Amino acid sequence: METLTLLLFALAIYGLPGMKEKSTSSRGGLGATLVAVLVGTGFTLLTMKAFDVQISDAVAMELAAKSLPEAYGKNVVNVILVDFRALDTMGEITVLLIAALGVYAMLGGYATNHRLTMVQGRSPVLRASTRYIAPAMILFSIYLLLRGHNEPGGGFIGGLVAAMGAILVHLARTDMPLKLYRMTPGILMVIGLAMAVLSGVPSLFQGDAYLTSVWGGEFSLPAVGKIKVGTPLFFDVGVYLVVAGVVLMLYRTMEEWQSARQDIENCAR
Amino acid sequence: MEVFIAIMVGCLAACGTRLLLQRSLFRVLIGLALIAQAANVLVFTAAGLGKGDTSVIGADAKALPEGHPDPLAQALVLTAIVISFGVLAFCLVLLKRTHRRTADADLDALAQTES
Repeated sequence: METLTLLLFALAIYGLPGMKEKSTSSRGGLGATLVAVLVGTGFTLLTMKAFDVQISDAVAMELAAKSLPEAYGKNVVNVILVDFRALDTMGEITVLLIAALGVYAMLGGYATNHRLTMVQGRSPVLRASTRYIAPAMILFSIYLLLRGHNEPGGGFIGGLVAAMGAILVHLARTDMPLKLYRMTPGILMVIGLAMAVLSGVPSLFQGDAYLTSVWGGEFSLPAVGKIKVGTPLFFDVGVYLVVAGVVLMLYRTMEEWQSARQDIENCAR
Repeated sequence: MEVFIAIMVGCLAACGTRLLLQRSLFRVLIGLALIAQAANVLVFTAAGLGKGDTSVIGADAKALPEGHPDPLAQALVLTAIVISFGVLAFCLVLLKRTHRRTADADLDALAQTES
């Protein structure tokens, strides 16, 4: 699952301009290396030590034991994220949203002159396959989202896959499903956060604390299996939308800013 | 396996520190990301590695089997990964803007720039 995040890292860094390295000479080469080796050794020892330490696992045991009877979920990690510690997750997606907004503001929003019509220079194989892969990725992301409560998957990973599907459309510059890429990330993000926030409200009417989960009936879908409807599901959908929106917004602002700069430089020549 | 991972965490942290001590801000950023990864892996392993199982309750079981990895730590690491991704993206763009403005990504040169 973390490989996807890694891929996104690569994407984000790839979009950077080739920064001119003025001074490759490092400061105090030997000393820095020495410090680095020391820190590395320290971390290694710490990790070795960490294997032996028996952290009191009462909390984890409690959570794991309550996961199925109280939250109806078999994927304990996901249950913790969207149910037991939902407030943490809400803070987290808020941080993500603010980061994306900050990037948007710093780069001055989307570039006004879209040049998405340029088609040359892209591999036809990529273009042809994207037509089928991108919709499949979106579908797969929804599948991941829905089954996340019981099996590996969930809102985060689903949102990442969905965003990557949309980014793929843009990378391949296909003319067909550009709408997919054009989905306004800002709106996705706001809807997602609103869903997450509102999913905590129903429990208030029952006299419980904010974000206590309220469960309804269950229904089953082909290929996914039984899904129990409840506020955590809405919360997870909210997380999905926020993550997808944030990643898309980050990519889009960076990419369009970049191509706008290139335009200016081309004109100057 | 555990020794291997411990050494890997050490290598990540060492590389991160080495990059952190350089002048180029871009490298400093990569160094920070590496150290964040090292910390994540550290927490992840501290929770126990188990036998490659995920923290998913089996089809018929009512609770996790004995000796499973700590799900709480995994959830926390997942949160940490996502947040560090967001922060990294933010910092990258901040760096880009700074670079545009000053045409320089060198710490010493930036220190002399007013405001």
